[in-house]
Formats: sequence, C-alpha cells, structure tokens
Amino acid sequence: MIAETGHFALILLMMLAFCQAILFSPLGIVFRRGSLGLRNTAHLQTAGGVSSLDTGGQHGFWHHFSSALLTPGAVRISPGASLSPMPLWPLPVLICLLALGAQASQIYSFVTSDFTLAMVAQYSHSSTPLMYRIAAAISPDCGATLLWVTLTSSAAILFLIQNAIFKKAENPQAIVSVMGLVVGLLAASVLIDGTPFARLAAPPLDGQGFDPQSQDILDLFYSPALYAGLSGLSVIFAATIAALPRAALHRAWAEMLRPWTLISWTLLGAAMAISAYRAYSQQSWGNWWYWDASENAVLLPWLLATAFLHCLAVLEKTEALKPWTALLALSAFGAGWFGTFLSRSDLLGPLPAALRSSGDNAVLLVGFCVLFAGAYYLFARVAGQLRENADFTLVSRESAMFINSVMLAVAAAIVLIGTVYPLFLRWLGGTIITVGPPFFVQALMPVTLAMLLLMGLSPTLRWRVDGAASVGRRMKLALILSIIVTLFVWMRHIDAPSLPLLGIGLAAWVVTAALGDLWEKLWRHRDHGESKYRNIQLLGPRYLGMSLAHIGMALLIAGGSASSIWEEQSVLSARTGQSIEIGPYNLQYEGVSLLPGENFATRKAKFIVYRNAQPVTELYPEVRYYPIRGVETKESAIWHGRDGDLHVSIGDRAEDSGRIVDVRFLPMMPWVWAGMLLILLGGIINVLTRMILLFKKNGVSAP
Amino acid sequence: MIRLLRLNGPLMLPMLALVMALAFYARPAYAVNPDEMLSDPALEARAREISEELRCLVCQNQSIDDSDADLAHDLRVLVRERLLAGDTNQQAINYIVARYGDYVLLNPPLKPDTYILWASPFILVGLAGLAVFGFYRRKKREGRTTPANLTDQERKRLNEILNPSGD
Amino acid sequence: MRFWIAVIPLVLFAALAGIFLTNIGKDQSVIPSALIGKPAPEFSLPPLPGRETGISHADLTQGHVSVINVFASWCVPCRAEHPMIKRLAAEADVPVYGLNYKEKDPQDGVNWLDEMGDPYTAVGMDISGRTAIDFGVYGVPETFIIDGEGKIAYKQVGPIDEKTLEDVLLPKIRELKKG
Repeated sequence: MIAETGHFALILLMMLAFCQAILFSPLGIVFRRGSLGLRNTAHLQTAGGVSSLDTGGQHGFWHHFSSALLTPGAVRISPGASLSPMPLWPLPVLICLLALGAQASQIYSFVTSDFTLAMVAQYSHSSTPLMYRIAAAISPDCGATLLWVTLTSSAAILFLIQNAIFKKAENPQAIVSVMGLVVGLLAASVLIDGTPFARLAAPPLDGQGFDPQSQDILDLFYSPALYAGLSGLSVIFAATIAALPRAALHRAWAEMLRPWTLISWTLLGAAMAISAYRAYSQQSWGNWWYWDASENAVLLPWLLATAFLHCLAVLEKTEALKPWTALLALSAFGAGWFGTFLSRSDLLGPLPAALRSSGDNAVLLVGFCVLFAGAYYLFARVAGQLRENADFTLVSRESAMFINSVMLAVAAAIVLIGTVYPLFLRWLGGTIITVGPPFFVQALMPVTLAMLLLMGLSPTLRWRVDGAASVGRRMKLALILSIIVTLFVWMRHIDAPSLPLLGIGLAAWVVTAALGDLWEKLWRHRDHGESKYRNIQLLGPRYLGMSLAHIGMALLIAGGSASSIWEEQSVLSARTGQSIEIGPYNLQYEGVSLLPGENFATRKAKFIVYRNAQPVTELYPEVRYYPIRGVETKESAIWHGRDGDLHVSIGDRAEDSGRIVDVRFLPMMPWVWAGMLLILLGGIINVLTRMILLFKKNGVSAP
Repeated sequence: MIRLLRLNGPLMLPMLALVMALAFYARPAYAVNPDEMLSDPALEARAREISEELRCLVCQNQSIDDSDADLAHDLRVLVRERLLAGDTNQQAINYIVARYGDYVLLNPPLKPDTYILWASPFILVGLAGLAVFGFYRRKKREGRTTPANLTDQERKRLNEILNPSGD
Repeated sequence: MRFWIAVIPLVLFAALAGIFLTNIGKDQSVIPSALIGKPAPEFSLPPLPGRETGISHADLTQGHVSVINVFASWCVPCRAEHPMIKRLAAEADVPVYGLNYKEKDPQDGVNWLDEMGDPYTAVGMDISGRTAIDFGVYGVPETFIIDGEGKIAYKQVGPIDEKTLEDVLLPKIRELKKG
C-alpha cells in the first residue's frame, strides 16, 4: 500500500510538474500571426528598458520569448492573453512534497525489505545492513532517477527561497517553468523507463542482495553528491533559458547563479573524488581513474561547470562573454544528463546479455533530446543579439579565464568523443573498437598542461588590461623556480617520461605563481598605508577559495604524474612471519584470519608496517565473499605516509601454498588526495563566503 | 571504476539465476599473481607492458594486467608464453588481436575507422583556436580593445577600483 | 541565415534520438568474432575421462557443415541452453561437437552430461582454455558454425534460446549445407 501511494504521488507529481511548466511558461500564451512585422532585434535592444519587466510583469518576457522564438515573421502576442498572475510558491512546494513522499515510500519499502517490489527484490536482501538498504534504494537504476527528481524539485524550492530573500531573478516564472519541465521529464523517465514501485506477480522469499562493490561508507554519498550536483546545474540551465530571450545575462543574473555554480561544481567534484578513491581502494593495482562511461559521465559536466564558473566570474565583473557563458551553462547540464543516460543504459558495457539492464531508458533519452534541442535552438536564435561588452585586452585576467574555459570545453569534447565513438562506429557499420585510457591520456595531457600554464598566470593578471612586460616581471620568480624544480626532478630521474615530468614542472609553476601572487598582494601593496592584516582582509576568503582550488589542482597533477613514474610494486607469495620490503617501508605479514562480516565472510590479513625499524601502523587488507550474490570483493588497505601511499592487497593462495600479496608504494600519491580535498575545500569556502557576503550586502546596504 | 556485477535496469527474474551463475566472471584469479610471473625480469617487464595495452574482454576499460577475470589470467599466461617462444611485443599483441579483433586494444589503432577519432583532438583545438582568434579580431575591428586614454594617476586609481581584493 | 543556423540543433538532436532509439534495444555486449570467414584454428582435444574420442581440427574439415558448442558444468546459462543444443543436434542433421571449457575436475563434465543428457557427436576437454582462446571465446556458452571447408561461418555468443535456434542457427546451417 505504501508503495502504491508512492507510485501515485509520483504520477501526480509528474502531471503537476508539466502543469507548472505550462502555467508559468513563456510559451503558454495565445499568439496569432498578424501582419505586423516586428523585428525581434528591436525588442531585444529595448529589453533592459521595458519598465513593466522590472515591476514583475510577465507580459514583456513572453513577448520577447515568443518573438525570439518565432521571428522572422509577423508574430504578435494577442493582447490580454497573458495568464492571471499566479503565485509562484504553491505548485513547486506541492511537487517537492510529493517527491519527498514518493522517495520516502520507496526508501521505506527497502528498509522494511518488501520483496514483493521488483526493485527491492533485485537490489536488496534481508541480510543487507540498513544503511545499504537505503543506498540500494537511491543508488542503482530508476531509484537513482527518483533521487534526481527529488533533489531537482528541492532545488526549485531553494531557488524560490533565494529569490524571495535576494530578489535577484527578474523572471522567476520562467525559471520555475523550466524547472517544472525538467522535473516532469525526469519523473516520466522514472515512471516509464522502469518504475521502482512495480510489484512482482510471484515475489521471491528474499532478494538478490545489494551490489557488493558498492557496499562502502564512501559510496553511500556518491549518488546524492552526483544528483545534487546535477540538480544545481538544472537551476543554472533554467535561469539561462529564462534570461536568453531577453538578453538578460547581466551582472545580477551572474550573481544569482554564483552560489548554484559553486555548489554544483563542488558536489560533482566530490562525486568524482569518491569514485576515484573507491576505485583506488577496491582494486589491487593502485589505479584510480579508468575513463569508463560512468566516470566520464561525471567528468563531463564537471569540466563544463568549471569552464562556466570561470566565465561567470568574468561576466560578473565586466558583463562580457555572454553567448559563451550561456552556451556553457546549457552544455554543462546537457552533458550531465547525457552522461547519466549513457552510463545508466549500459550501452558501453561489455557485460553479457544477462547482466544488461532491460530498461533502455528511452524516455530519459527522448526527454534529453527534446529539452536540449529546444534549448540550443533558442540559443542559436538569440545568441547573436546578446550585447557584448568585451572591454578587455588580450593580456588580461578576462582573457586568461576565457581561453582556459575554451580549453576546458575542448577537453570535455574530447572526453565525449572518446566515450561515444565506439558506439557510433559500431552503429554505423564500422569495426568494434575500444577507446581506452591510453587515448584519453594522450589526447588530454597536452590540453591539461596548457591549462596549467594559464592557470598559474591567470590569478596574477589584472582585470581588463595588463602589460606583457609587467606580467613577465611579476612571473619571473615563479618561472625560474618551476624550471629549477623540473630540472631537479629530471636530473634525479633522467629516464622519466616527458609528459609526467612536464606535469610536475607545471604544477610547480601553478603553486609558485599562486604563492608569489599572495605574497605580492600581501606585502607589495602595503604602500597604500594599509597594514598587511588589512590586506589579508581585502583579499578575502573568495581569493583564498580560488587559490586553494588552483593549488589543489596542481598537487593532483603533480601527485598523479609522480606516482605514475616512481611507483614501486611487488607481487609475491608470502608466508606468515615473512617480511616484505617496499619503498621506505618494511611489512611483516602476520597471516590471514577468516572472520564473519555483517553480510559477508572476510579473509582479513594483518601486516605490521615498519619504517626505519619503528612500527608505523598495522594494515588489514581483506577479501570479502558475499554469499548472496556469490561475489568476492577486494578491500585494499592503504597507509597515507608523508612521502607516499602504501597500498596493500591480498589474493588467493599461491601454488606454493603461500598467500598472494600485492604491495605497492606510490610516491606522492597523498598529494592527489590532498589536492582533491583542497579543490573541494576551495569550493566550500567560496560558497560560504559568497553566502555571507550576499546576506551582508542585502542586510546592510546596496552597493 | 569497474563494477562488473552492477545490475542496472528493472528486474528480469529469469535472468537473475543467470546473474548468479555468471559469478564466474568474478571468479577470483587476481591480477598478476606470482605463479604466472616469468623468472626473467626483462621478459616479465615486457609482458606487463603488453598486458597493459590489452583489454580485459569482460570488463570496462580495464587492462588484462589489472583484471581479476579468469580469461584475463589466461591471456596473461598466453602473452608470457608467446614472449618465451621468442615473439616481439608486436607479434604477441598481433597474436591476441588475430583472435579477438581490435576490440582488445585499449589504444585504438590508427586506421580508416579511427581517423576521425584520432583527428578529433586536433580538429577541436584548431576550431577553438580559430574561434578565440576570431573573437579578438572582431573585438579589435570593433575598436573596443583600447581603454580610454588615462593618465598614470587615473590608471592607478582605476586599478585600485577594479582590483580591490585582487581576486 | 540565422534561422538556418538555429535549425542545426534541431536536426542534430533529432538525428541523435534517431540513432540511439534504433540501436538502443540491441545487444551491445556481443563482440563479433574476428575469425568469421577464417579457417578454424588447429587444435586437438582429449576425450572426457572414460570416453573414447576427443575432437580435433580434422573433424571440422570433413567436407560437411559442423557445429562446435563451448560449454562448462559450472556455467548456469549452459544449463538453460542445453535443451536447445539437443534440438539442434536432432534437427540440424550435422555433427555437433562439444568443447568442455575449463573444468576444475575433468569428471565434472562427464557428470554434467550424464545428468543433462549428451547430444554431442564427440566432446573435447579444454582444461587450459587455450583452444577456446584460439577460437576467440570470451564467455561461455558460445556456439560456432563451421562450413564444409573448416571455415568459421557464424558465431553465437551467449545462450541459445528457442528464437535464436529457429530464426538464426537452423536457417544458417541449412543455407551452408545447400552450398
């Protein structure tokens, strides 16, 4: 009964969401073809000056929207066709409540293990721990889409709250309308592509169990982070669609979207970090990124969101780059949606037929195509009308950020092409090929290195106009230092491959440039009679957030490059009491014990780790056996030392009856994890300060 | 990340028995174990190099060097045998490709089917370069690049306004 | 001009939807064999314990169409497929050879056939899995149709169901027998 209620709530939600899309829609008006040949350019140029807009009237927006859509030609909105102004709040709130209800009822059936439900029977088991029953409800399959619906409808509410407090959006109606459309399409996908509320005619006594590979605390947060990130992107998407016809991509628009961008960007980054760390700790070979469809599905929107983040900063400062920023806003959400579809539909999986998803997610695909065909159509119609105020020279902060955003978009395009190329080649009758990590590394490394070069430069450049000579003067020290670092590394490891070496050198460049800039801003500007503490205040946590993210990125690249060059590995058959040398460590193998877990049996090995004959820690790598699915998983044990990661995993018995042990020492690998944390921290600090600033601004006085 | 047994899609009960049975795809053999390693370190290093280029057929983007799958184990052993028999790296790779096709190569080979793929990074960078170049040229033509003539004093003041926090 | 630029996304997304929708239901996991049209590999496999004849390359070059089915006792899809192999052996009127893939204990294969029934003309035991690799096998069960000259004419990956048997395999064999 609970599940049926949830199902009903979801159906109602979908219908209400489409109603919301239509009711607040800029297209929900009656227009007729008249004889009046109004050029839309004329409207757009006066858009900013139409006073009715500022007082919340909707007619002006509709007018522009429809004329933007339907010119050339004589299209006129029939007077009086505008709908009576309807309060914004009731529908989104109702939809959000229904979504929460549907989600709650679905989670309830997992928690109570109601195996009459097909999805519960497939993804859960009576022995699955409570936490993972909840994870089984929201992580796999249509459960994840339902979570997406819930989070997107919640994001709509958050937007309304933001709008009520700050009144930043000029046409919240249109934003609410587009959000309704997104929620409606996603809900339709949940309902039609495979509903989590379907009952089984012949329910089994127990379920098939939760995917053992995902049974981990960190993995619990993957789905929520990913879909919350995508929900944030959908608000950005909606706000862009709403602003495009009126060419209203101005400072207020950017200010409104800043927190959304930072939050989504941070959440997507968190999802990627989780996925990387899980891959790293679950496999025995210390690799952390495989370029498979599900990873690329997060990487794509993250890259575009990063590009958007930078363009938004430029737009906020100088109202330049409007079309490009809008294109990135649309594409970031589009890439997120398409990536989700790709990884969900298992199109790229080589899995045997029996393992494939039976739902083909056709609705998710059609919804994507319809929504984004419309979005890009609108963009192409009005992009030319966006008035640019690109008042900056080639050597300027704006330029650096603009060019970097273009390179990020290029990187995203390469990832996209590499991901879908085998699919299209197969469908168009070509051979079956694999596009694996070597392609992505070769194609992306040069772009990444060029981005690092600009990344070091960008924060030190002045807005609008800067001189090449003075930039050279400022960057001299950073340049020399990074060359010294590169030479030093190269001399110590003369046979090191060139790309990772360049990666390390450029990382040093970014870090020294960021620190040098900080130093300059703190001390050089003291001559204005300000104390250096005042300077710190002036720099503000927002600058700090940016610096942290940049330094984090540099650490990530340096760590990844270094560990790939200097990795030490040893695979051996170990006997109890045996001592293993790896890197600076010495491990003593203490044998394996068979232990019961919550819903698995585990072989847990014990290693005592010594460094310079001093015990450092104990490591317990495991091999778990999950009887419900009959699957074994490996949980490596990792020690993050000061100069590298010690990565230990165990396998079967070897032929000589020893235990197969795989130990690795990955120098500088902790830098990768520290880098990821710094990037996330940068995002979080930026979000928090942004919010504090906004509150202050609105609470105290207008600028 | 490889999630071999991740089940996507609505339930298909008859399939579930098969899923359980296909546990053989996860039957532990463990990526490179000591029993299969060659005693000659140079040959073993070559074998690792080759293994990293070959895709585990039943995994996602994982090389046979990284894979626990049974077939990956067999292929690793096979590669080592080929090397012991005196094959060059390329010959050993060709031996596997002859049986499984280009699909096993993680690094797609350059041939008519993949011209577009390999050209795409260059095309994209070229297009992006053209677009950026066009952007600055257009801007220059429209004469908006030069800020107004300012005195040094004014310029300094402007900089302070524009870069108050330096971010 | 601008109007036509704006039409591009519409066309692109329609094409995208079209290509995905026409292909979305198809099995993407099947990797077509690289060996189609090529001679079957040289091999010689010993018989199951307690049996007389194994299989070898010579069995496939007798001038008539033959079928090789790769199976294993530990593979449950094979169990589901087995009735179809029986039908195939009965209806196709060609020799159907069994390739018993990687049994842990050679006796397992014998026991399995005793339990399930043995439709095979002869069964060869591939303990190392090497012959299967020569055939490009990557998942059990797989079924190969070999033409009279010993060339691999068709490969079925995964279990044969009634539909595959009637609509694909039997017609293919008939066609090959004709000429």
